[in-house]
Amino acid sequence: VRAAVERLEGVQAVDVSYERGQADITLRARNALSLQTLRDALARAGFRARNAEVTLIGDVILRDRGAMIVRASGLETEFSVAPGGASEVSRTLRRAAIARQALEISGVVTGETPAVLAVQRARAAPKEKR
Amino acid sequence: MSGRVALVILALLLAAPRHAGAELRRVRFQIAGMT
Repeated sequence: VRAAVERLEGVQAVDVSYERGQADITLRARNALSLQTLRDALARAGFRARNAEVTLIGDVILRDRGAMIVRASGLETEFSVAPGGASEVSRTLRRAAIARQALEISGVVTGETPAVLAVQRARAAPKEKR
Repeated sequence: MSGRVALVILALLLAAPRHAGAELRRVRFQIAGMT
């Protein structure tokens, strides 16, 4: 598993625990990897990836009826934000959407199409060292 | 002239991606063998 994922451009580190049934993947700044690319690499190694906990840098976009999506624009990937969750997190997401501010968002992705993101934490995206 | 330069700079700023760093940073998959 490690070899299959590490050879992808943009992967910084891979830690696999078969006992826990987990693969932890850390990605380099300015990578262009999508969840699907990572899932495909795991599948080639003979493993099916189920739910994913992710941390991403992205934009929040407001949709009708209070719905929100998170877009990691470098990836052309969109996640629908799961309704509910902590109200403080929802407020942070809405403020960022209005201010057009990028956030660092952590949460659990369930489903693949459409991908739904249950957001657990959100904060201003850290400044990149260029 | 300076007004035209300012317009070009403004157009370039608007065309640039706002957050070049939008991307996945960490992923933890729950995995299971497919055998």
